[in-house]
Amino acid sequence: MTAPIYPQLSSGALSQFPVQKRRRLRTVCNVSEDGRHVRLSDPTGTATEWRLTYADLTDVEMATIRDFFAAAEGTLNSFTFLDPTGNLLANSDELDHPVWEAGPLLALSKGEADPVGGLSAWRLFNRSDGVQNLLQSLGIPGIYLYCFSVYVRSQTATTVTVVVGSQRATRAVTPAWNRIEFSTRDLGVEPIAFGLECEAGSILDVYGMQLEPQAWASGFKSTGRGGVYEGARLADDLLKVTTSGQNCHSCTVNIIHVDHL
Amino acid sequence: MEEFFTSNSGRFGTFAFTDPWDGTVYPTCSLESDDLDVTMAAEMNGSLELTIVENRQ
Repeated sequence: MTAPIYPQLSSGALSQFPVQKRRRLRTVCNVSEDGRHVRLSDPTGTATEWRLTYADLTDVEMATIRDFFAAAEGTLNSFTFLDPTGNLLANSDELDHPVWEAGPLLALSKGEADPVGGLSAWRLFNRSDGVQNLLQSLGIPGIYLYCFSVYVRSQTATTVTVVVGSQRATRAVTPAWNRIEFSTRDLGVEPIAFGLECEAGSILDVYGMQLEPQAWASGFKSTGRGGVYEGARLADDLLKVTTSGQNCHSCTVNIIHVDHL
Repeated sequence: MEEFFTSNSGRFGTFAFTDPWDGTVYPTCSLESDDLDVTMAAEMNGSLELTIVENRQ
């Protein structure tokens, strides 16, 4: 059974600005009698909270949030929350991490110059006679609107195909860095794969793969865990709605996600 | 900053910090808190506050 998921607005956005986010970690500290501290990190004590402030919502958007609140029964039921401030892809700068599934004939090397002056780009070598994929699969709903973005370049003119679930878009690649953005919905059934399809014989420099639950790409955010939070909950049993005019509502939603043992 | 805060495990991890006032490098520093509050006011416009403390034995 698919877990419920926090709804998008009609614009395709999950939230409006401002968004407040709090990350709480836990460090156990033992203070000895002579004043020395011994510390131990507790990785299972992590909590993340969001405060989403909505204004000028339409009747339909307000109903969507109200219905979700009712379905979740306030704080009772958990759901999947897609961080609107982050990049849904995990390990976005570590393309050799196990979360990425690379085609068997696709070679990767890191440490290439990236478009922001660093050395975080990767070079993908497809020396085979067929296309080779570099994909990451996420358990997120295919009916939402997503924007996948990535910086690519190649010393020789070629093309690359962006894979966003069941949707694909082929784009030209030039020797200069260029950011590809591909927004789409109706991606198929989860888990959904996101990434690149490299043409036979192509050599690509790649940087900044990003997936966001919205219509347009924002600035690239390097990730570790990624922005998909399964088991999130509403932090309140109360949803206070202010109606300031016809078809004009506002409310605030607090969400919490806690890493458990 | 969020990734640094997380990878550093809040106030658990240590790191070298260069004082932006005088360039002095403090080799063993920690974050003071296990909490990080971020406010995103607009696209590419976020704010947060971190306090760094030097550890001495």
